[in-house]
Amino acid sequence: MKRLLPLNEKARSLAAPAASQPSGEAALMSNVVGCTTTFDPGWELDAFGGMANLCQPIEADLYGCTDTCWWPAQLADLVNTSPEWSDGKNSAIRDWRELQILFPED
Amino acid sequence: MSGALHIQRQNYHATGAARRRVLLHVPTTSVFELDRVSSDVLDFLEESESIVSDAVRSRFDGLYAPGEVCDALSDFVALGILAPARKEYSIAPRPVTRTPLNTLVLTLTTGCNLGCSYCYREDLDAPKAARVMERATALQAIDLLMRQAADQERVAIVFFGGEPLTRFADIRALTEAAEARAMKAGKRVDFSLTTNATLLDDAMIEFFRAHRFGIAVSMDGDEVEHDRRRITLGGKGTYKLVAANVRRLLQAGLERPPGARVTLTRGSGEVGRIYRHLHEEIGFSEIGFAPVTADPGSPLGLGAAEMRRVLDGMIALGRDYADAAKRGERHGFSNMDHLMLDLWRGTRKTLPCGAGVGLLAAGTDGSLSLCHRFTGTGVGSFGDVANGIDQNGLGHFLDRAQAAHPACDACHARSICAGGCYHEAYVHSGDPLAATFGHCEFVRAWLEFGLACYGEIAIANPGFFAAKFAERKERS
Ligand code: SF4
Ligand code: SF4
Repeated sequence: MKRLLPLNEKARSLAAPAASQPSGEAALMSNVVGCTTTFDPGWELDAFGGMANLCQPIEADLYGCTDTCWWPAQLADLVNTSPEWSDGKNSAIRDWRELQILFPED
Repeated sequence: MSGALHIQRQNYHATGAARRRVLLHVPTTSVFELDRVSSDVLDFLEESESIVSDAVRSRFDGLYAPGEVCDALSDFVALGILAPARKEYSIAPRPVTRTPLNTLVLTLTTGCNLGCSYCYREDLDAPKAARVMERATALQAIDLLMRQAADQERVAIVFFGGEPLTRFADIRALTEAAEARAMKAGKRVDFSLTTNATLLDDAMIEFFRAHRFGIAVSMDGDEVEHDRRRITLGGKGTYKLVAANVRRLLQAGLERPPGARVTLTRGSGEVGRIYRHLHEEIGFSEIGFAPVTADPGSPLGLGAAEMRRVLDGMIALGRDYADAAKRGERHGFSNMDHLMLDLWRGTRKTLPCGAGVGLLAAGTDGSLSLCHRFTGTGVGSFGDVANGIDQNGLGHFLDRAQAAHPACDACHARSICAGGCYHEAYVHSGDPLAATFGHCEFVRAWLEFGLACYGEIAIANPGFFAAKFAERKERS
């Protein structure tokens, strides 16, 4: 939360970063916490026509970059040439080592 | 921002004046203070229903930096208050397959030495005709509690009636038996009772002090107020006797200060005046008010105009509470305490109360009911103390109770109210799971007021609630 000041514990747990949310109910919110729902990385301009509020690529989740929106990161082309590149490696946190570099001959 | 975003009114409620605006996030009972930017942005959302980036820009260009407005919008998005399509946060009903009982109500007798004209009990008898709970039944009930509460460190036993003090010998014996059983089970047991205080003598008071009883006394105000409804079977007022007994009780220095429970009926006096009498003249430090439960045709019930009057009185008294809290002083209006506790804790209910989950009541014959108000009613029992809880029946009831009525789904009080008391519903329509919307305006207005007060107190005296509720937190 940037402009809403929490006044009870629940509000504080929602305002805290997702990883430290202690309660199960707060997890309910995890799909909307953060800016990526509307200000998805990949929009060339922000809501006000500027660039100040764009997410930086480093803040975007790896899969968020490849699946749901466009971002010119150096990732495999999951649609055309390497659809199986990430199969079975669903957690970027856990499986990142398994994601292999692709060479032209592949 | 691509495309339009729509305001999700079902997910929040904001209240308070421009500079001190408080927002309740309904799905989680989180409470936030809005700053100037977010408050103005919310106003804009409420005016427009849907927004697109051009409109936002033209509204706020030159007023606030784009980043400020963006932050406010992203906060609202994060809370599901603004979304591209309708956003619901429903919690799937959780099947209840075990009853984690922590409180058991024992209906010691259906007999009462008074004949209060508003009493809700269907099975009330004069003392001579009363049905009483056998000791053996009560002991089975206590065993059931200890068994069902295997995971709990603390359990509570409530002695109820009728008038429980007509069975004081039982209370004494059962208290001692329960303490022995709790000790064996490694638990702490708390006792409480609700009484009309007419039979209270010094020996009883000393016993209650020694065993740390929590006591609620039914008292309706000053002599005129009290004696309108709280009368003996012969029709005489009981105020003088009760007032004298209560003064002795209050002087005994019980660990948990006894509270007064006021029933408000048609023609009741002003809430603030009743409070001041019970607090200043009698000496209660905690006083709670409940509108009478009466079927729609009853001459005792509170009509819409009377409910409004009660609400106005509660709001005026609640103001005193908030002012005292801001100065760091405690105030004994317990309805306010409950609401503040719910907001402080972020209570998020899917069931209106603990009836049938943490709490069950045993009738005089040992049959188990949802709560103290359902013993002896036409609503079937959920097992008995000898054979245990009818887990299937109870589970089925609670499944149905968790399915919110569509009107509740859209109501901003739902996380605190969750549909209201089963017994109210039962009295109004014969079905404990029917919707009773008679009190909704009251509930919502009371929450609205409480939310504004909560914000004021939390801002003016940030440590107040943590200090006040520390003990309850540890107990919950
Ligand atoms: S019973 Fe009324 S006040 Fe309570 S949640 Fe339902 S609609 Fe809201
Ligand atoms: S059903 Fe009503 S009276 Fe019974 S415990 Fe719930 S709120 Fe209280």
